[in-house]
Amino acid sequence: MSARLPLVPAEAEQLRFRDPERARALAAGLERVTRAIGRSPGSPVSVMHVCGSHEQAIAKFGLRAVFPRELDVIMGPGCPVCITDLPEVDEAVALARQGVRIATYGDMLRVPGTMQSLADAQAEGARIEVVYSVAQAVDRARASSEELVFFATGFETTAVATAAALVADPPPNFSVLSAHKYIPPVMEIVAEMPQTRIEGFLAAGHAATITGWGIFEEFVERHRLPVVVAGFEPLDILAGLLKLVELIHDERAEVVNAFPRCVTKEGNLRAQELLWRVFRPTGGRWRGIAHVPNGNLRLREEWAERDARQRFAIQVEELWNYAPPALSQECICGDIMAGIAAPADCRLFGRECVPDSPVGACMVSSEGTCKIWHQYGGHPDLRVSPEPKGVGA
Amino acid sequence: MCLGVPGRVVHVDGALATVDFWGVRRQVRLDTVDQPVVPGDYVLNHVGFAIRRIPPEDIVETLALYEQLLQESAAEDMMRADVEAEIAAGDVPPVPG
Amino acid sequence: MRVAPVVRSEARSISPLLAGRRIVVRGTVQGVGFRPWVARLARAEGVAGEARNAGDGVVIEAFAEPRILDGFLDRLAHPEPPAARVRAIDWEEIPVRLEGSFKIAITESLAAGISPRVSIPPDLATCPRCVEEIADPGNRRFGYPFTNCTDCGPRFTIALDLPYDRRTTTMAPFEMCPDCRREYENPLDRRFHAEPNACPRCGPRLKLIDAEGREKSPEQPLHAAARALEAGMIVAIHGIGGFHLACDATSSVAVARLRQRKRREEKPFAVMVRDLERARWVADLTLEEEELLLTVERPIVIARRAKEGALAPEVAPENPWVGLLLPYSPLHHLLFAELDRPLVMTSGNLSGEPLACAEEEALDRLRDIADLFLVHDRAIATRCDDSVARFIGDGPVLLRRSRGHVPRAIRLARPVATPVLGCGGELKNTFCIAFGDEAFLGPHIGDLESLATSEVYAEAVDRLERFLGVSPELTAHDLHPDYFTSHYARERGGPGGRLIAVQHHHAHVASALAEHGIDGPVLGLAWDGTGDGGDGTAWGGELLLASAAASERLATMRPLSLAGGEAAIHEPWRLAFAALDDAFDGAPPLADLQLFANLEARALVTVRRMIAAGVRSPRAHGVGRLFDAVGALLFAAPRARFEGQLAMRLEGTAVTGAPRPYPFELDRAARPWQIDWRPALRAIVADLALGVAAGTIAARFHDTLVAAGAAVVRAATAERGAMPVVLTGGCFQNALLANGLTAALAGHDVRMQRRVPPGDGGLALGQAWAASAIHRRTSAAAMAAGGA
Repeated sequence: MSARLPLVPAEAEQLRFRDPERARALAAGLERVTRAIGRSPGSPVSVMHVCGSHEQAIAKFGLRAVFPRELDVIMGPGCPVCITDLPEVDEAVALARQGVRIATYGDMLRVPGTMQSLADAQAEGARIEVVYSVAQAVDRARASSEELVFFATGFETTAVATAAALVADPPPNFSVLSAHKYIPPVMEIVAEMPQTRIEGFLAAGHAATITGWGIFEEFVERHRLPVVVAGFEPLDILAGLLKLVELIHDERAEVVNAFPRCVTKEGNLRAQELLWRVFRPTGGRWRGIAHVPNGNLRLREEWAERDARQRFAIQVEELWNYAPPALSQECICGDIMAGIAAPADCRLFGRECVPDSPVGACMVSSEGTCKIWHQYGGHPDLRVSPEPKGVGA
Repeated sequence: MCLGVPGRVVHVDGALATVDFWGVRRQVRLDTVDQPVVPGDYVLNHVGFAIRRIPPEDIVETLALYEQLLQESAAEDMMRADVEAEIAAGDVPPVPG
Repeated sequence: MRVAPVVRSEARSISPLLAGRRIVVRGTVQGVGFRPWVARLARAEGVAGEARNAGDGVVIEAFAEPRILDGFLDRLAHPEPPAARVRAIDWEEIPVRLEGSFKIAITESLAAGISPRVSIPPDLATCPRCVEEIADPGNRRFGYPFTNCTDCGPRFTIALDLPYDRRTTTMAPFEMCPDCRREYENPLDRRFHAEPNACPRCGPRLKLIDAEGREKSPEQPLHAAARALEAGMIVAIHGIGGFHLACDATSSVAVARLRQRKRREEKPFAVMVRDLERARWVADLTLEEEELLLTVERPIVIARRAKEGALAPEVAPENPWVGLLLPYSPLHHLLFAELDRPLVMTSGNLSGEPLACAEEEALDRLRDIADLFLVHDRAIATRCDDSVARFIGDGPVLLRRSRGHVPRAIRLARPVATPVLGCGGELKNTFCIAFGDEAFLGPHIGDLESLATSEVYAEAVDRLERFLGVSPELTAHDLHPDYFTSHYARERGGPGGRLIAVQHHHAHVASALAEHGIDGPVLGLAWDGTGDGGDGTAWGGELLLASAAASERLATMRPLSLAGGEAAIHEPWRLAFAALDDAFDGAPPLADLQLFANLEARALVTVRRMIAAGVRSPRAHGVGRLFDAVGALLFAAPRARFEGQLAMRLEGTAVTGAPRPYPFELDRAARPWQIDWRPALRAIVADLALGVAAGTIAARFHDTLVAAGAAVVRAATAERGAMPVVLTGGCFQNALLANGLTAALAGHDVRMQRRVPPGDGGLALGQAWAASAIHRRTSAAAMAAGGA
């Protein structure tokens, strides 16, 4: 096997944005190492990333054209909007229909619930306000004495902000309906799924800014799968992937930080302290995955007053007298979220399901795989899409 | 929105900082950052909260991606749109100085 | 396994060098891989000859040197196939007929004069090797939902007649392809004489259809079914013993819709999970419960629901328990490979109706419940619900004895003089045919209140009679005149038939006697919800001094008035009221009790009047009713949606700790003695006023029942002498109660019902056993009276 490009921290620092030389070298290295692992395009090396921004960068910069055919880079459940499943959306919709003001991040507006999305409820007169930050929601609460519930979605990095807002003593009419999710537990689940055969993970750089890369050590021990933390520039991603396939080739189950300018081993301890002061992990449903133990973040008992679920009797049952529409049966968002299918595998992709009239959550959010693929020109992948996976495949 | 957005701190008032994002000024909360932040520092911002003080030696590197993105049109590019959203996460206050 | 001692014949061997023996092995030795194993054993030991199925069991003609045959006989007693059970081995010398090698013959018809016993094995859960094969892309049975072998697959549910052979099962229409035939005929193959043997080329096929019968996704029905389940739809699945209704157990919407359509308001749904690991997502399992889940009978195991587990709360509302099931057919395994989430797997019927088991029947009766139907063309000959079990004390207790156990017989300590049919009870019915020294309990029938279920009953009795080749003239039934089974017995009785009515609780105790092979007398604590006492009251809190033929009522629970009769059972606030009225001498302190806060004043007045006047207020002694009354009080629950709902909740809520019973009295002046619970009720009301936690009150209530039960047993022992104690009746499905009493009666010989349900599912065995004893006694008396 010929010389590889070693990735030492010093070199990582020298990555230049859109440096064609560098990009070519990295791509060549990626190809070389992947080939050395010795797979065929029919059963490629499979790695997963769990970040919408990673997928955006990959799609936008056409990186899949650069990846070797024997490497499959799959997006996993990394879109916080998309993995918010029906029960939680229904809770927000039910509350809204009960007359409670809801503040939410914009992307959540059009995510389908069992009967309605928040946008549908809004069209029928429910009061839903779009905010970019939980701090803005607190401000709105301050502006009147009416109850305001912040529908808190997003992963742990976003949950930090919600926690900080609560700790800073917001007005008494402000409460939180938490649909926050925690990523490391879902990696555990995906690592165990026989259909996915993931051999390594690319972790998101900015999330790791908060959690630190040390958080992956136990995971790596347990599952014997390497994890590389990577940034968002195309060169960062290429470099991260190269490191990952090297680890796979050498069968080294380790955590490597390829994003040292933003990520340290312990991470941001202050943010972590805020997070766990307010939230506790509990099991729950993610769209596409029936149960992720410890995958949901809920408010701790001490914050019961701020917990919309304790504060209100949420009447979800009224939303259930409803047969699932025929199209949604065809929607394979769940499989896409779990990384066992790609948007191109979906019958509805680009036809009945487009950003203007999305059928599933993956087409709603800017971090959803389907929307990303649709935006950046459909199927950027040059190879034939793999067979839908079934038993033993 | 996994992407945080960097900006330059212009003014600090307790836990609240006024941050300049390529000419646009916003308020960002500092409760969540683990180092002291002074005007002139750069912070990585996510949904209106600073998650990291960017070490001086990394600033140029960090800004590079965003500068490229900001040349795109937000209407057509998702990454650019996300960056805009992050910038908008701050309030719009009257800024001293 | 109990093996009768090997009977050695007196005849001497004909040839000094070689001997021949005709060996008859009885037990569960057909369809469990026994003959192929015998063939392998014979080859290994150097025995020549033949083995064939006969109605009785397996007949082996073996030829070899005598000492080799001795060794062969010894090995036969301990067969390797996991589902084989040898009950008895008899043999005799026969002339030597030298054969080149060991052969297994196609079944011959029954020899005249030998009465057939049912040796049809129960249905067996898919074995690990078949599971591997269906997951192996290189195997020709990859992805095939009807894969089976001699160690696993359907048996009882596909058997049409005796002896058990492909021609007499519902697999008869399927002509085996050359590959399958080769396996079937090769004694060394794992599929040798596996009667349901099949493969994708020649065997049954799966189809996904809608309520109109239109086929969906013909190439990938299973995949499409998995997709539909994921989308929250309800799919009816054609399984081994009947149809299941399945939906995503993590989806509140799907489960709520299923409840509404099936008209099952709150009774918990059973949940099937992919494997033990996924089971832990859903329940806090002990090691014993895990083992129970893995047994080849694959029962539904009742376990503690995991807090914040994967299940939607609608699966078991307000209920701390969950009934869990592991996959038992290749169809299930393949479904879970496509769909990694827990599934509700409940019986395919509208509440109160029998389990659907044929495609047309399912389409007809389930069209308004299921969105889609996953069906196949391997017919089900006998419907058979899943079994239900619980781990109590140091072993499992069968709460419902059905798939995996039926039609295995219970061995009786003594043969019955004449075949007898025990008709069973009204709820959770099974029937029982006792014949020779075996009692055959039929599959779970269910509640006989609906016409459809009662038709199923008659059909099921007919079938078992046909399998056994016997039609009992002696019929035992419950005392209750209005039970369906009492009507059935009377019609059946006819001329020449003999009917014996057996009191409900005596039958429970007799069931325990039969199960344990004890003659009696015993002290039987028979505690349940209700059972006709024959004296105008409903019994259920009894201590009986009993033998099979007779019982004496030594003690009972102080009764409650059931204001409005049946209504009191559905609206336990009435029971609570009656109990309080009694305990507080007509001045119950309702004002402070949450239970009565939202009741209509008029309803209260009516009930008060009914009780005072004794109008439409039959007296009930059942411990189950006490549970209802206390549960209604404690949880402020005016309604119960299903039998035992409040008792389950009480058991689930109770905290552990040192026993602290409430005060009670044992009135020994009364005949029979009476356990007076009034002091306990007063103490509970006081605790409620103090705000004592529900968990504590529930625990102390259990402790009180334990203390009372123990006290009355000890008093009876002091008066009548030491004898075994049996715990029977539906209340002993409650682990706290059962364990508590077993501990409190340490020093006594305490027996619980385990292999046979302690509830009404075990009643028929007791009826049959009691009737047989009564019949023997009266016949003997008649003979003595008539002179010999």
